Amino acid sequence: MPICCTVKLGDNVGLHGRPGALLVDLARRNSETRIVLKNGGKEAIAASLLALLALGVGKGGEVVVEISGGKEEAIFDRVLAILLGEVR
Amino acid sequence: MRFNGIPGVPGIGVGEIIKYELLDVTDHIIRGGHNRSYNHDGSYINSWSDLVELGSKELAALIENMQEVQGSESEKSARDILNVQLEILNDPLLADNIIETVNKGVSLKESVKNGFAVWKKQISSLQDEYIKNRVQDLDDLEKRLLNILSGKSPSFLGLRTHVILVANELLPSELLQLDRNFLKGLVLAYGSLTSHTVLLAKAFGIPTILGAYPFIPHLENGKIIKINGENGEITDEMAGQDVVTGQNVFASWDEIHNQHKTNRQNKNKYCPRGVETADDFKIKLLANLDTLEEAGDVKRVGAQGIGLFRTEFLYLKYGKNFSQLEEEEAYAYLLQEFGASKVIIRLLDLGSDKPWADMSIPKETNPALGERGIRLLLKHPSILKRQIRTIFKAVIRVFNDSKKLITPPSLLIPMVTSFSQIEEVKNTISNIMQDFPLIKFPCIGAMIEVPAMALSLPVIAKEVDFISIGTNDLVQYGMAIDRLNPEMQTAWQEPGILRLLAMIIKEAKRLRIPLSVCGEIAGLKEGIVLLLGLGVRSFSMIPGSIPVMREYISKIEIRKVVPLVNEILKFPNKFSKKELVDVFCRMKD
Repeated sequence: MPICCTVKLGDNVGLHGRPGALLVDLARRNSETRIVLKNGGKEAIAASLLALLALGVGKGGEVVVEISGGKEEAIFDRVLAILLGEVR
Repeated sequence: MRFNGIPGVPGIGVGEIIKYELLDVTDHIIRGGHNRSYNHDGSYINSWSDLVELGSKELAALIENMQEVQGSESEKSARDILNVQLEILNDPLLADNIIETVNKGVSLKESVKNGFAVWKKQISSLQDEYIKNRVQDLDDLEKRLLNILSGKSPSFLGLRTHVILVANELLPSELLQLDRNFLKGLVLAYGSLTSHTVLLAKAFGIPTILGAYPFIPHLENGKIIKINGENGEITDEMAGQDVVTGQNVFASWDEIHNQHKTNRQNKNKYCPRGVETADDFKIKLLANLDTLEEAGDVKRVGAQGIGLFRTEFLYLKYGKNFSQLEEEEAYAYLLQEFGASKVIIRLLDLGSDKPWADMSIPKETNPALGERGIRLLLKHPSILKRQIRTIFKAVIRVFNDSKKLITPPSLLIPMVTSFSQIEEVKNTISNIMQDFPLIKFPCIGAMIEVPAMALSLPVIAKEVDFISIGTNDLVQYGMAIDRLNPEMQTAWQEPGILRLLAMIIKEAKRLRIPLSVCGEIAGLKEGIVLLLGLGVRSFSMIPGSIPVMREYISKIEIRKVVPLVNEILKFPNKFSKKELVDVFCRMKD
């Protein structure tokens, strides 16, 4: 079941650096699933750190997360954890 | 002269100004002359994926270097920054863009510039300050890739003197490539507090001043200045004090500094030379080598040879993919540059704070007290044999048209904790030598790093040709203090340790076995004085320290130092600077 949801990032989490790298890693390990983040009219595949950076989402910002193609629930849980700052 | 910039990183720094853009032509650098990939000149790189592979290897190596001091916050920040760059390098969209451009017939170099430009534009137009600053990482990475394409490999820049680096801007990896032992401060024309370079400087504790553009023209190359990172002040007014430690008994900075100016003429020739003390004792100066890049430095500073080649860093750096051929090339390179008799190769010293993923080391509660050094290596005989075999192969490769028996480099056994280990190593070597009939049996040395072996010198001396005192570990095990603990800095000054050293040196003299000291104490002024007073005449240290030490030792009179050291050995507690000064002054009169 495809998932589409708006997520507010943790206060200390911005879409760059470590969180970005974690998302890229997640996307790489689940290459069949399409993971896309959107913000302000721009969209980015999670597999590209540059695209994620270019979304320009700072600490505590908001993104729309779209996941489709398999294992959506499990992957979304993981994405959520990263965006909320629960993964180091 | 007095200027005020914007405070960046607090702290006081004193040193000679070097302007970054003049780093290439200044005499201050001891640039690692070796291009890490000896046959790479960039021309054979045809595709983006080739470039990515090389760039990834470089970054991975830099990251591994940062892992030498585990758990240190500064190294961790440096690693994070480099990891992000590694991630960007492998970005699929960047790849698509560049490959597409290349397929249209554009050169790889231009395609790289284009691809990066696209993303730099996007990111620099963002609102978020922090993300916007990541453009610096893209610049850094782009520069690295363009350097690879033009055959320029980054090299470790050793510095000769204490330096305040003045630059318009500095990229993070440019900062990471500078010798932090000698970088005493940073003055940047621009720069922001959230830039990665400043964050790194903060992590490394390097006093930094930003916003210096109005007065940078007044900061002349070569001038000695003092910066205060707390209030942004830059001045050349200093109370006449030694800038190296702030208080000096034995020599003044100005004297050494002036000597340096006259010695800079010989920078291009390799003139290996030791030094004579003020009372004509001959002292040998050798260099510690961790990476091949520093080989150029070793030559620049005129070290008389390599007193310690820490081979484990080769393994740690290249990791799983370290092929025997690459290892052979590494040894061959050194043998070619310095000759076998001037190279001492230490067998792999892994374990403790240098775990190697490919070697299964059991999880221990006390790695420093567990499987490490030769103890570990002997548990993995295939790895030991591989290393020795590879060294011999390198010898054959370099000296293959010799008609007589070939002398191999000396081999040093790390962390010897029992005599039987020496026997085992020698037996292993003997067996391997049957396949190398043209090579003579190598000179074998033992690292004396544990008290038990210090007390067993008479037995050891019969089986080895030389000994090397590893002061870092000797102090660690002798004082039961973690070598990574900051208190280690002064732990060696405990008289008990000094007496232990005195005993080792005296025994070695009695047994007529050559002895050298490698270890951080040899790089400290007080350390050198004490060791000289105790009777050491051969030192191995990082190349960067050699020029200053050479000057320093030339001013020391051993006959004055010996009684000083004898006095100190009687102290109940660590000598303090003041006591040292007192005793010395009494002696002067």
